[in-house]
Amino acid sequence: MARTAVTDRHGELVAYRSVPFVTRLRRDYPLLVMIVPAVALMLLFIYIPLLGNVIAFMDYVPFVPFLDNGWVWFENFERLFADGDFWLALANTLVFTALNLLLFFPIPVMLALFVHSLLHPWLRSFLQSVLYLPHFLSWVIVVGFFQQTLGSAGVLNQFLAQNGLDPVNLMQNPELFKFMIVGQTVWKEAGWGTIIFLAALTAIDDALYESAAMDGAGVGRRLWHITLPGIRPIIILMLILRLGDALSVGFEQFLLQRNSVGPAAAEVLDTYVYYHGVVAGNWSVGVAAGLFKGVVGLILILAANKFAHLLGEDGIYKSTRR
Amino acid sequence: MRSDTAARASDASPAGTPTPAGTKLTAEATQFRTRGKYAPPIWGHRPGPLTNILRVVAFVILIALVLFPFLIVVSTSLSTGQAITDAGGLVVIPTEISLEAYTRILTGGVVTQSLLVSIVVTAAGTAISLVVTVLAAYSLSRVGTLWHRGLLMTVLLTFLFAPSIIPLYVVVQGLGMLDTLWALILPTSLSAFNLVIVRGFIMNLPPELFEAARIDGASEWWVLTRLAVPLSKSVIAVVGLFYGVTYWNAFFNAMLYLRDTSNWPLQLVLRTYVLQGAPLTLDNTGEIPPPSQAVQMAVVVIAIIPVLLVYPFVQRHLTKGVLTGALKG
Amino acid sequence: MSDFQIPTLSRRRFLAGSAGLAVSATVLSACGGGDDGGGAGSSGGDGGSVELPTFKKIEATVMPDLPGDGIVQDVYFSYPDPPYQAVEHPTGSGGELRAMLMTYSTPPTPMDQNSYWQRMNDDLGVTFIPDLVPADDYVEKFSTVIAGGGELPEIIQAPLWMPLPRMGELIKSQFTDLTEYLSGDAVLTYPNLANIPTASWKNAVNQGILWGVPIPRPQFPSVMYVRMDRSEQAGFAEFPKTQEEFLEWGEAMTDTSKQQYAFAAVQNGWMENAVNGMYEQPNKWHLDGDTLTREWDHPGYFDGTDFVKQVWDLGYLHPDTPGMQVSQQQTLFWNGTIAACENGISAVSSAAQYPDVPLGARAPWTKDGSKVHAMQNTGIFSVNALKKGLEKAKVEEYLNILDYLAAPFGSQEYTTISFGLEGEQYTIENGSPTPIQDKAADLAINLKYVATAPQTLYAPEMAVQDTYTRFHELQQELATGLVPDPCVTLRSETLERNGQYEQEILDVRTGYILGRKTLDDLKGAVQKYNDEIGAEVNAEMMAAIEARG
Repeated sequence: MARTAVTDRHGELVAYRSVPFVTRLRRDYPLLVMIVPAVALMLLFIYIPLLGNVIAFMDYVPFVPFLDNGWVWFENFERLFADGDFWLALANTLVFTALNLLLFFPIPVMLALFVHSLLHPWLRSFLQSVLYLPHFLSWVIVVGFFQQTLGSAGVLNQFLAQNGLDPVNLMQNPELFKFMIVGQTVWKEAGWGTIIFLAALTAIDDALYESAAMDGAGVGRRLWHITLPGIRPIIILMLILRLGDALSVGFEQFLLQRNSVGPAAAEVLDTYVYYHGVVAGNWSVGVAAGLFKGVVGLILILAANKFAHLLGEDGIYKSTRR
Repeated sequence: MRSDTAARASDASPAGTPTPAGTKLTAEATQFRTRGKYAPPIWGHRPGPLTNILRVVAFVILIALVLFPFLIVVSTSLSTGQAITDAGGLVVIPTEISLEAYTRILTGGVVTQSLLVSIVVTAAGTAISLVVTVLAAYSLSRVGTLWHRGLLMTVLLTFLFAPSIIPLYVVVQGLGMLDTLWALILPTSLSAFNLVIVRGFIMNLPPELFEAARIDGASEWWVLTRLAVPLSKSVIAVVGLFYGVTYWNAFFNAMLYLRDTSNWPLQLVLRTYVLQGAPLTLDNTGEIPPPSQAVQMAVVVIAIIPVLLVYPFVQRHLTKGVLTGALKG
Repeated sequence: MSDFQIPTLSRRRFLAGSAGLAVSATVLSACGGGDDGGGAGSSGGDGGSVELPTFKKIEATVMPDLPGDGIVQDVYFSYPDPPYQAVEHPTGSGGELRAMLMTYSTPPTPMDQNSYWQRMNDDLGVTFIPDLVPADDYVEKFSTVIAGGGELPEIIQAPLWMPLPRMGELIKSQFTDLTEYLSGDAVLTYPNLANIPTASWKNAVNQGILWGVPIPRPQFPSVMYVRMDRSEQAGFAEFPKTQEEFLEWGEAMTDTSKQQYAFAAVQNGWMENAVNGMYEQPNKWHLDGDTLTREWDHPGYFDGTDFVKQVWDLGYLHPDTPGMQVSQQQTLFWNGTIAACENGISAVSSAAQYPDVPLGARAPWTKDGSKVHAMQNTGIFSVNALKKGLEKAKVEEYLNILDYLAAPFGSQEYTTISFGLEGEQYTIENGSPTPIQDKAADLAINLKYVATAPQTLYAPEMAVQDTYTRFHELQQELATGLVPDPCVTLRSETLERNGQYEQEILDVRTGYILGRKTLDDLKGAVQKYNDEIGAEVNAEMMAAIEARG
């Protein structure tokens, strides 16, 4: 097999512009065969049904034959963009995403490093197999726990009352709601989030630690020079993927607490869509909002990836011209 | 493997003795070789007393934060209705153990049957998903190949845009998969998220390994099965867990695509226990009482036990380094 | 939502497209039915006149201990013995009968191991195949199956509680017109269906046709359930009728240092039945001549809201009320944390589980306690339609089967349908059929949601017979002051498609009660509804009322 391609610093094939198509096909067909099952599944269960999303441009009702639904083109989008509540929900969503990135995102990484640093194998696996458990509780139960602990009639306030202190209203305070949400998310999902980073840590060559230790590198320097760079690509990858999902911050968690703090604090895009699409009997509005989320996600992913390239990282896809 | 390396090292040079190379080991490095039974991780270090105390405190707090609520879940599931009502909904320590919630769920054989369905769907689904995902991830990890950019974008877009239920139902119906277990597997069998993660891991592996093999004339298939897969065991285990948990927790497709209740998976059956009496606005007559707290909590416990059983197999792959000496050959 | 969760597509799909109440069920359910937006409470037709089925009450062969009148329920303290035979006509003629039904229970025992199911197949003359859908998911499955265009089951439970835009087209394209079979005296061919009250049948009229058979329920609204033990401790032998005493009672019941509160309400419920009664509010709509107004066009709406705000500010409501779920409210009530809350009229059946708690109930009285002012309910659980394209003979056969299933309390058929086979699914204890616990799953094929007779109250336990007697009296009180909804069964397309306006009013109202919003905000939200859709909705509703005649 002729291997005349240009390679980058990783020794990966980079530029093929000069290589004829037939040669490339002959050389790459095993790779194409490997991706056939995935492409087939995506076509059948995502791309073909995605054609149904044209209802974003219709006045759609599922109870009449499809073509009896009139085309309204961009009216659904115009309705969304003309609605102040939509922008409120969008702004709230972005605030929650930002808080999530700042306050939640680093925690699984730190937890993973902590688990990783435990010497005793039994303690390590014990902690590891306990941390992820809250992921399996539903939001109804998690919010219930928070209510029973921090709510107005909860354990904390009972304690304060018994000691003659003023009660604190944590669960119905729109100002604190942002942090309650982050707190709940940390409790439920941080442990589960460590798993991917633990996997990344295993992929660091032990020999690197050994030689660093030999060279007298202390624990801090080993963390800084070996561990973190070793999992950096995965951290960046997770960050970019999270950005692609930036307009989804959760649904049930917000719906459950929306009444306690009010929509001004708790309305996010998904609850907005629920009330304006589902409850309001407007299927098209929901799909239109979904398309909007996808487009925004795409832009964010592309931008984040570009940014990663500027920092010399690979991101999701590599820059082909380096 | 790490433990092998550590063992080899400690065999070869007992504490403090000069290495064959004649270099005096630093204290830090020495420590790798002195711990007998509990070989510490190679990246480990012996912390000072203060750090140690802090770490113990952190450890205990973490465990308590997670386990205490779970204690409540288990205790409540084992309590009588009266005890739960008296406690205000959640029980910390049960006054008397009652298995009523569990017997109520487990008698009649419906749950056992659905457990079987769930196991089949989860096992088959995870296997199919992993094969498809790893193949595609490897293929897409080879930057610059034919149609690479386009295929990668095709995958990425599925992460951003999801079809709505009705057209998907039409497809599943058209494929004749209604009322079959395939409908619970194939529509959700590929996750772009997981694919991108696996691809990221493969691309993060030292490229020299792959290049060397290719220069030796190895086929892509050989490189995939002999190099990429063994070196990505940890991420494959993790992504397998992600897929498995998704299949395990899924109820929506079953609700939509299955008519025959004897094919219902566990989560759909358990859902009916939680829903009982949590009615929509339609039933405002109050004739359906809300579900008992004990049953709700027992449902959590029953759903989580299989995950507890499987997790150690995944965890095994999270503790060992996979690359020890790989580069040196 | 975590960054690391596998992005399960189902959640996104759920939001991306189809209707979904999956998560909402517990969230939206208001204690005793809130103002549930989207026309969810109302149901039925767009007018057109059709003669409703003649109501002919079946005379009970065994007199009830406390007889009702079609509105007030019959109450039995002992099981009629011997049961009589209610159905003389043949039922099915073989083949399969499929039905898409909601379920609140776990899946049934498979047919081959289920003697009840086999017996019912024999009795009904068909192989009954239910397509059971957990109640929370029903809306999604219904929309999807209809839109999917595949073969529909013969019987479909129509989710009238969801917004059904263009419902007329749905009915005409998917369901069989039953007018010729059931309208007027035609229904007398099916005596058990003729036993269903007219108020329930009204829900099955749309576009000038009768399109389904209702599952009847009492027409009473939610009432305020009261723990008489706590009331008596504080010196109130009776729950007070007047508004003034209502507040006094609230104060006497509230002791925050002991974690005791007078009231609670499920999210957005805000004790609405009691409050609407005090301020003599209309039932969602008010028709005066040819002028149609909404409940918030009446000053009582704002005064009532102010009253709730007063109760909240005084601390008589449990502090978790804004986010309260049904199950939490029930726990708080039965453990005595709260002393009263509103709940559906049939929730009295929970009394048997807590025989130690003396249970009372209060009808919604006007401010001065002079009369009852209670919102009349739709009188249905659902309406079940037959799919389109059935031959006349098949339609008649299926109606015979529905008639069989609607056999009333006291008949042999009712006993078998409700309890199963003696010795298999139930035993007779003290003359009363008592379900065998382990066999409950046999009955879960949900025939009671295919067709059923009007409900009766049956209380064999001595301990709760007092309670049931009190509830019988309560129902008689309620019946004196039922306020009908002039638009019940009617739908406005504009309202169906714009549920967010009502939702906003609801949200702002809650915000005002909690002190986050001002009265002006609430008036603003009402104004927005009136300015943007009010006129159109009213015009559509008026047209529907006129068409109904």
